[in-house]
Parts: sequence; C-alpha cells; structure tokens
Amino acid sequence: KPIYDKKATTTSQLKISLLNQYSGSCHGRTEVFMLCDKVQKDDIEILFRHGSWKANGEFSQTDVHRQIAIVFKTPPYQDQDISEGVEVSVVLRRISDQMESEPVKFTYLPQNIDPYEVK
Amino acid sequence: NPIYDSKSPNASNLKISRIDKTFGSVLGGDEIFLLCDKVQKDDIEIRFYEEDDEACWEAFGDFSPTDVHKQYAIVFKTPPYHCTEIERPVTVFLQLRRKKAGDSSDPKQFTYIPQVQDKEEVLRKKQK
Repeated sequence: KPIYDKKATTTSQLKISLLNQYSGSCHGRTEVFMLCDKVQKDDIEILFRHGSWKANGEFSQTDVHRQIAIVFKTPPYQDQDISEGVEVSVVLRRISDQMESEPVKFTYLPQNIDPYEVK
Repeated sequence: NPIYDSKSPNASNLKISRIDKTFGSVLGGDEIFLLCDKVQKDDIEIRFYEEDDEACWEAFGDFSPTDVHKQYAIVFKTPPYHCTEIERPVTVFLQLRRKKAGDSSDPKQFTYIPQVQDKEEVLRKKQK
C-alpha cells in the first residue's frame, strides 16, 4: 500500500466542502463559490457529469483563492429544453493523476419560459 | 517602524478578496461567502457600518468559528439594517476586524434592498 504525504497537494485527497448554491439555469454561466480542501491552481478541474454527458466548470488560475476556494461558472447543460430540474454530479478532479473528490449534487433548472408571469 | 512577522495571522494585514453577493434583504439573514487573507477563526469579526453626519450604525455578521474555512474563507449571515422600513436601497460598508487588536480591512460596499411589500399592503395603499 503506498504511503501518501497528506499535506502535499499533488497526492492529497480532494474534497468539496460547500457550494454557495446548488442549482442554476440550464444555460450555465451561473457563478458558484466552492470551498474545498487544498488544491493546486494549475492542476485542478471541476467536472459536471450526468450519464454520458460531461462538461467543465469554467475558471482561471486567478479564481483559485489560497488553494481552498474556487470561483467558477457552470457549463451549459447538454439539453436547453428541459421541462423540469435535472440533477447532475459535480466533482473536483486533479488533472495530473485523475483523482476525484466525492461528488456533490447540482440541479440544472429549466429556463423561465414565462419570465413576466403572464400565465 | 514596527517590524511585523508577515506569516503570523495576528500581524498580517486583513483583506477581503471577494464576496459572492453585494446586496441582500433589509431584514438580514442572507448567507454570504467571503474570501479573505489569513484570519484566525476565534479572533475575527465582520463589521457592517454606516457613517453619516448625524449617527453611526454598526452591526456584525453572524457566524461561528466552524464557519471559517481553512483560515481563508468565511460563510456568514448578514445582520438586519437598523431601520427595516426603508423605501430605497441603502448602501453600507462591511469590513473584517480583528477583535483583539481592533485593526480592520479595507471596506467593501453592501446594499440593503427594501422588503417586498405584501399584496394586502399594496392594495390598502392603492385604495387611499
């Protein structure tokens, strides 16, 4: 069994602690604050997954705050015509060794087809 | 000039890097994620304040030490504004402040939004 240096961000366990919101439009572009265990800003990605679909949360290295928080934008869901909420998984993944965190759930919401509530 | 140990969280400068919301209800209770430079979870407060000619108001963000994440982020709830009957949005300031030393970060702006009036209230006013 290999021995890992738990403090090294190249091998440490990845963990998502908290998101500031767990739902957003199926169009994507929702800004989300994620609090996490230590990550390396140049070796981390945020993956959205549902069945065979996957897409990355969008952020730059400057959006990684002190290794413990990431501010990112949600990717658009594959289907822009959903009629009810769709629950997908979000994980942190280290690019170099493809290690993943436990998933958290995020719900894509239908676009508001009646924004002025005429009906 | 004093020489500070810049690695000690007691001596380093306080700084708010980012907050996820810059407005919320006049009633308070909105959850805010704040990203900051190094803080100590038991020696930090979030001060909301307003300074005008007549009076000063201050109130504090609501959080416990467990809401401080790895010394670099705080999740807290906004305090209510001193007057909940505002008719227009009111912009105040918030800053990080160390309880013991009393030093504080540069402020960020936060805007309190009036309560949405309930329908009965609107109807009553229309009938006048």
